[in-house]
Formats: sequence, C-alpha cells, structure tokens
Amino acid sequence: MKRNLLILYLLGTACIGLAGFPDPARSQPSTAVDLSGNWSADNATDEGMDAPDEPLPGNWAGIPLNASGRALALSYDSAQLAEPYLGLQCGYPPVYMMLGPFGLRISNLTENNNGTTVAWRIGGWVDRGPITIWMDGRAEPSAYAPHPRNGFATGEWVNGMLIAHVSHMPAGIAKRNGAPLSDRATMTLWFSRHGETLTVLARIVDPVYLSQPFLLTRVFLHYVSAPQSAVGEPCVMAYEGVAPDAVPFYLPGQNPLRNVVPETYGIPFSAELAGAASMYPAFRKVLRNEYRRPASCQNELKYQTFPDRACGGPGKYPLRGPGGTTD
Amino acid sequence: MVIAGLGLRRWGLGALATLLALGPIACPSYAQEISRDRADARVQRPVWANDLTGYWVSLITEDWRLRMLTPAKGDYVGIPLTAAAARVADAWNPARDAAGGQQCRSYGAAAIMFRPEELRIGWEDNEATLSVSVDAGMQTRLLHFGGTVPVSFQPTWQGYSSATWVARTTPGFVQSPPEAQYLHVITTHMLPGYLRQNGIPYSAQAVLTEDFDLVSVQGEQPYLTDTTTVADPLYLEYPLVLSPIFEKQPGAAGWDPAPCSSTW
Repeated sequence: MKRNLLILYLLGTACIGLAGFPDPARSQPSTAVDLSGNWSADNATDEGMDAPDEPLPGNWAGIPLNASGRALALSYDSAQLAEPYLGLQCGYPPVYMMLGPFGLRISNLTENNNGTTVAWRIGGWVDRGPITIWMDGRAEPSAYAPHPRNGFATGEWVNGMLIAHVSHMPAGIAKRNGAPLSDRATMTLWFSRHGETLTVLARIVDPVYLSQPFLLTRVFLHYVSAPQSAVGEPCVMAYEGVAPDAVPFYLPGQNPLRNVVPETYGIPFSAELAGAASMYPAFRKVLRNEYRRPASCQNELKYQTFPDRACGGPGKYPLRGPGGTTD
Repeated sequence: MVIAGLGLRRWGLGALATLLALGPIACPSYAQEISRDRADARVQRPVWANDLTGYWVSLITEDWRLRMLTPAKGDYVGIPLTAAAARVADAWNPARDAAGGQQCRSYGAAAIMFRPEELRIGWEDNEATLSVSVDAGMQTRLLHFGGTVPVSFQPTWQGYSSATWVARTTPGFVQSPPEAQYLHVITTHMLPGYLRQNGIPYSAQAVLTEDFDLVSVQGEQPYLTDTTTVADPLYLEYPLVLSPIFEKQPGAAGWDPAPCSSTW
C-alpha cells in the first residue's frame, strides 16, 4: 500500500513538475519570428521607382483622399520641403517607411536579466526617423502628448506576424507629392517574414484627410553581404533658398502642375482626384472612355532629375542588391 | 535518510521505470499537446485557410497607372527586363495578338494577380485543391496541395501550381502552431505571356513563387496579401517582386467576368 501511494505521489509530483517547467513554446510568444538584420528594399512598386525623384505632381489616383485632402494636395508646392517650420527637412514621419526607397535595419532591444524582447527597433535613414515598437505592454500616451518625428508604437505577435500600432505621428504625407496626412493619422503595420523575404502591409487611417483606410505594401529582402550604412550626416534645419516673402503654396485653381499627369500619361485629371473610388477595379469603367494611351513612353520629363529612368529599360533599375538603394 | 527509510533504494529503479511508462498516461494533457503539435506541423492547416474562401477585390493603391490602364509602348518602368525582353516588348502589337488569339497573354499566372479584378476562392477535390477564379479574363488558377506536376501536364496560361503550408518560425526554434503558417505556392509550366498589358514578356522558363498572408482587422473585412516573385532567366535581370492587396467582399456584387483583351 505504501508503495502504491508513493508511486502515485511521485506521479503527481512529476505532473506538477512538468507543468511547471518552462515550455519553450510558451516562454516566449509561440509565433514570434526573428526579424533582426538588414533588409534591402525591393523598389519594384511605384514609390520605389520614383526614387530618387518625387512622384509626379497630381499623381494622387489610388489614394482615398477626401475633399480636404484633395484641396490641400492641390495647394502643394515641393518648396515646402525647405520650410523649417514644417519640420520635413530632417525627416518624414514613420509612414515614409512605406513610401521611401530605403531598406530596413531591424534589431531587438532586450531586457538585461532575462533576455526578453522589450522592443523592436527599425533604424532610420537620412530622412526618416527610427521607429521603436514597444513589446512590453506599455500604454499609449495621452492624445495630448507630443508627436515626435518617429511617433509612438506598440507591438504584438499574432499568428507569426508582428503587428505594430503607430500613433502620435506629426503631420506628414501619404505620398511624396503633396498628398497629406494629419497628425491624427494612425498606422498599423504587419511584418510577415517568408524565409528571406519580408512583406510589410500598412493600413493608414486619417480622420482628417482620408475617407477610408489607405493600404500599402512593401517587400524587403534579407541582405547579408554588407552592412547598411548608418543614418548619415546629422540633419540641421536651415535656409534652403525659399525667399523670405515667398509662401510655397498654390491658391485654389492656380496649381500650374495639375496637368502634368494628364499630359504625360493620358490620364484624365478627374481620375487623379477621384479619391477612394479610384482604388477599385470598377473605376476602370469610368476610365475606359476617357483614357488616351500615349503612342510611346515619354522619357524626357523636364521636371525630373533623372529623366532616363522615367520609362525604365535594361539596366535602368539597379534598385536592389549591390549597387542599389540599400542604404 | 528519508528516502532510504521509505525503501526507495530497494525498488527505486522499478518506480522510475513505472513513472516513465505511465507518465504520458498520468499527464494526458501534456502528452497529447506534444503529439498534437507534432502532428499539426505535418498535416494541419491554419484555421484561417477556411477564411480564404469567398470573394476578394483588388485594392489598387500602388502602381495605379500601370495596373488600371494599359501603359504606353516602351514604358518599362520598374521591370528589371533584359535586352532580349526589351526587343520583344518593343515589338508589342496588341492588334496582332488579338488577331492571333493571343489576347490572354497578360492574364497568365505571372501577371494576373496584379490586375484590377475580383477573386473567387474556394476548395475543391476534398479540400486538396484551392481554386482561384479571376473575373478579369475569366481565368481560373488551381493550387494543388501535395503531389507533383503530372508528367502529361501541358503548359497553360495559369500553369501548374503546387501549394504548401509553411511554418513561419525560424528553423531550429520551436515549431509554430498552424495559425502561424503561410500559404506558399510555386507555379511552373506557364505559357509565355506578358508581365504588363504593354507587352513586357515572360518566357516559358519563368517560375512564379507566391506567399499569401491573411490579415484580420477587428470589425472589418480581412485583407489578403500575395507576395509574388517572378524569376525568368531569359527576360528578367533579377526576380520581379510585387505584393498586391485584396480586400474581402461580403458577396458577389462586384464579380464582373470579362473576357481577355489585348488593348484594355
């Protein structure tokens, strides 16, 4: 009898012990994936292709701008970038990660004693601040808290994807040609690693300038052959040539660049300002009778710094890997 | 010693053997969890696989003019095409394609997910095949789970697609649960086609690799991303990587089948 009791006792103790052992699948988020390293931007989509130039002025089709957003976009003059008071000289808000041509440098900040990941950090580049995605469950700051250049972000792991919730961003851009975002905009990012490829989906919500969520994706490639360069020269905001009495905005109806897209690509101007409707396939029925396909691609775009890239061609897009835009 | 006083020294080995033998029975939940995890890693698919079924609409928020419209001849922006590809593209003649019954060349698997369209996704063959019907060009892709390309398979616009669920966890670490898997598809045996409507070619040697992710947003329709990589030793200097987005639709209201067109 004593022997049986002892066996039961030992079995019970063992069960408790097994339950108490740190289960490797539970001691950290079971679906966490290592994202750390250097990731080269694969600039095959239009935002990357536009690098290093700005997207064409007026090219706002596919962006769910509301009436306020369209009005502000039409007033945009790229000389605004030189205005220190707008704060864009030294970097765009985190949304720029989805718009610019740069890669990602991702690292995790660990807690000293137990090594758990407290935050993921996405390195910044010359015109983009670093983003810190806090994983320690801290609360979002007050709505009245400052909106720093890199915003505030918290993260969680869901089904093997890192989800980052970004808020408290300064007013910025939905595209580098004047499509605006307000300082009330928020962004959710999904980081999904497929082996050596990292797909990032962004869902941007802005109650001021967007009528519905704006979604973007970027693809990054794991890049191990060379470390990416650091942030670069320190940025100091300074006078860049805008005359003291000049105001780099266009009044309603006076933007001289509003016909650039129609003249270059045959796209009706109404399509550029169609907002959310232009995001959906059904909009092609509107376009069908209005689109005039140019006879050939126009390569000499006078407002572009690198016009030879406007139409692409063999060897014209070394935008990834060695020699590409990896830093 | 207390243990010695209980006589463990005498029959201690027997008790240990009993413990090891009965442990999985006595601790059923832990044992089952281990075996279930191992089995899941091999055969189960994520719950979200069932959420794939239904209608999905393209969100054209990037590359708008290149996707919504047929670009001008010679507009190769963003495509790492080779000189051989440029020669083919420079000879693009949509009227000739239409006359020759080749108007579906820009609706092949390597390009079709990038078009403005609706998808209708459903399971077939006792859930061994995922059917992806596309209203643009009235095409159907079949994603086959398990098996290999049949020897007798002849190239088609949509080719032959082999699908697997891939664990996302870093190799060497703990096995991820099924929900953390993504859908990985490799497509070969495609007829030569166009990467864009304006005649930028891909060859019969092209291989399409896709990774699908489903993203949920509370209270809203989910999104589906398709990270596509087209590798073509003949016509691409390096693989072309794109990632179209789809938004789930509550019904078939937007489903609008239209035949292939070489000009629109």
